[in-house]
Amino acid sequence: MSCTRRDLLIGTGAIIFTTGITSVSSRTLAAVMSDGKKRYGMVFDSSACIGCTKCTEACRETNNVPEGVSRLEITRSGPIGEHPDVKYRFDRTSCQHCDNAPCVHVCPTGAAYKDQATGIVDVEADKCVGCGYCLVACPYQVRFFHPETGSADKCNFCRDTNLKAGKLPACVLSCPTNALVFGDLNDPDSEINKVIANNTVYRNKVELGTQPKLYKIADGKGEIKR
Amino acid sequence: MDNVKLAITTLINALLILCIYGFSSTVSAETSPPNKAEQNSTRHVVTYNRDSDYKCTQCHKDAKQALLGTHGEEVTKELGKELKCVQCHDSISAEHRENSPKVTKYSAAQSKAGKNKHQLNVDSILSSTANCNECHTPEKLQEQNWTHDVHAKNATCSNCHVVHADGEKQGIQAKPKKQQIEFCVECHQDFNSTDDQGE
Amino acid sequence: MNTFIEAFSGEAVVWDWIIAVYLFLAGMSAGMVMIAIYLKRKVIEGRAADNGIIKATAILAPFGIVVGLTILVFHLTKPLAFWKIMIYVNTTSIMSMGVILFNVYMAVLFVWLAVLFKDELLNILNKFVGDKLNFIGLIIDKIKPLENMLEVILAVLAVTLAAYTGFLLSALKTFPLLNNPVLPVLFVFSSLSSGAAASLMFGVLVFKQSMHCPSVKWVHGFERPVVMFELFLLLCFFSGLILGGGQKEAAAMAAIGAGFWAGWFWIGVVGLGMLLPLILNFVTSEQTRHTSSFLFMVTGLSLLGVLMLRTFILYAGQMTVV
Ligand code: SF4
Ligand code: SF4
Ligand code: SF4
Repeated sequence: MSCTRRDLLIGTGAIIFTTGITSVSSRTLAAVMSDGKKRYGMVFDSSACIGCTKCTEACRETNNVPEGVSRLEITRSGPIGEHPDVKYRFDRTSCQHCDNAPCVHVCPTGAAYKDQATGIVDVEADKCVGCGYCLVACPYQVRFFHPETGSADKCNFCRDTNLKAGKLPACVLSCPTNALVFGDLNDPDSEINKVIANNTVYRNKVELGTQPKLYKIADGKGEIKR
Repeated sequence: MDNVKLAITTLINALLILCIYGFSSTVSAETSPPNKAEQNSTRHVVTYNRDSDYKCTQCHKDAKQALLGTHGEEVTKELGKELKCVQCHDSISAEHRENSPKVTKYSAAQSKAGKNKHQLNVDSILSSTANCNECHTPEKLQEQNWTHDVHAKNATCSNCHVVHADGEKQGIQAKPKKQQIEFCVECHQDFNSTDDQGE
Repeated sequence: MNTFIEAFSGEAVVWDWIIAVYLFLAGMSAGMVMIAIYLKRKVIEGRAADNGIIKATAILAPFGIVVGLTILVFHLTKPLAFWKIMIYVNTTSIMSMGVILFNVYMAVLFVWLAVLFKDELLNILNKFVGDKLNFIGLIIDKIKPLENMLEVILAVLAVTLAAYTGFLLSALKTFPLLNNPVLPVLFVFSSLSSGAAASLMFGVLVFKQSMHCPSVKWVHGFERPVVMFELFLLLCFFSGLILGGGQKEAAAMAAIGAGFWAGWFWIGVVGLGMLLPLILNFVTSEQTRHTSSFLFMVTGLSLLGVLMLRTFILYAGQMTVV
């Protein structure tokens, strides 16, 4: 399997971590793989998110996502506290671009696949027969059937739209508070790796072994709900 | 005989006073605005002097009419009386006509520095929204929309709402979701980019 | 009635009752084939094709699998693209492997039935097409020596197929209730019990197999331990979940603790589908047990129970996410 080396690195990182040697580089934490390929990931800074949902709108427009379904959802919980100090918490629900993606494993036709050159998990709409296996297999429950094509659909990091045009993903560009960082996890000098190294980050449901590439910065408003 | 004389003199004097009073009231009636005179005749005289908004609307001509769009009948029903200018815009000083230095005004302001809007400290924001909060209590506002909560210390109402508005067409609540989002983006992008430049 | 509609129209459910019917039909087909093969090899004396249960299997097993697959195809969002599922293969996908399994199973099943019912088949062909297709008889004769091997292969395929319906669901990490190692075993045994019920119902009532013949007796005797073991598996299934804690426990409690699906499970699956047939068989006299209406009721209850079990697993399973 292609990820054995990375697994090893993560493992090494964990060992060094637990033995208390503090010189762990950001490289180890972000699990950089120096195979010359890109491995795109994203950071969602929940401490910066204001819940405006501009990202959702931008994605809708850029990627032709009809009303009623969405590639990303901003969820709000709260209120916490009393007037005038009431707070809310925000979270992003979207494809985590798992390195070890259940949706890819279960797809009977290979329509759900991981692009080896970028690490992006995408859907080849033409191959998809619409069995829905991937929809139920995704532990993050982010996949849906596109009402117009009948194919499974989800965030693909704007692979065929903005990324293809040499731009950052639409949600990243549109965010007024710069709560989203997108970049190459394999590049030790990339902004995303710096952000990951310098913040308290977490990923959802890592215990399932999905190796998600959507990192989240804790919002500092209480326990992290993973 | 003396008694008769006294009675006649008193009567004549009274008549004279009546004539003078009558004359003077005719004169003063002529100097007041004709429409108000008309009102005087049909309405009780007392209301004339008590309409505190009358003077304001002499200069701020359409302000009152526009206000009725958002704080009209419904509010009158709720309060039991009409909302007056001074209930929100108080401390009108003697020099009101010269630059109106003291009257309470409501403008868009935020707690963070930005290019587009005034910056105010938290206390000023809280005190300027306090008046609105008397009727629009934080509890009600929270029920209506969660964004009220997070802006309590950070923005004045006028950032998003237009009080002297034509119905509900100009306020944020009348806009479709997409345009509402732009309200958030406008300010947050503004002061976030200012933040970046500061670094 | 309203809760009934609500329970079945939950938005979150991607795989709905149609899939449950498909799982049921595929399972029943596999169960019948397993039983028929055993009967043919160990119980039936004389020509197997004359036995009512074998005849019932010859009709129902292909019917189950074909109808099951048909409704499955129409459950796709793009039914017309179903052929793509046949030509593209993904070795990590249980469904993709299942598609291959289905094809092989169907092929072997048809060949086996053709060997078994060679005379009947040729008769029918002669009636409708004349003797142009007589070479089929020759082919069958060529395969005949391989019958033993065919049976072994088919039996293995049938067990795999029954287990597959479980693996399909237990591969889903998303839902703790489904992602459960007991599920495939449970489905094999519920397949067997539905197979037994269907064999009896159709073998005796439609194909008039005598209630006293050894094959019917054997299936009768076989039914009870299967249902008992199914109950034991259900116990393992849920105790495993509850003892697992966390979301597993939450999923189990949400499913059988309270609510519509708990009622469905306790009253329908366990009560009507398992306990009631067991009790009825236990308390009634030999005489009553051999009436056709009694047989119809008991086997009908078993079949209903299995269908309800599949529906329950599917819906209750999709209720709780990890
Ligand atoms: S989050 Fe879901 S859809 Fe995205 S790669 Fe992982 S399993 Fe697939
Ligand atoms: S719905 Fe489409 S993408 Fe998803 S598993 Fe089925 S064929 Fe693959
Ligand atoms: S990366 Fe692109 S596709 Fe994914 S959520 Fe953002 S805008 Fe939508």
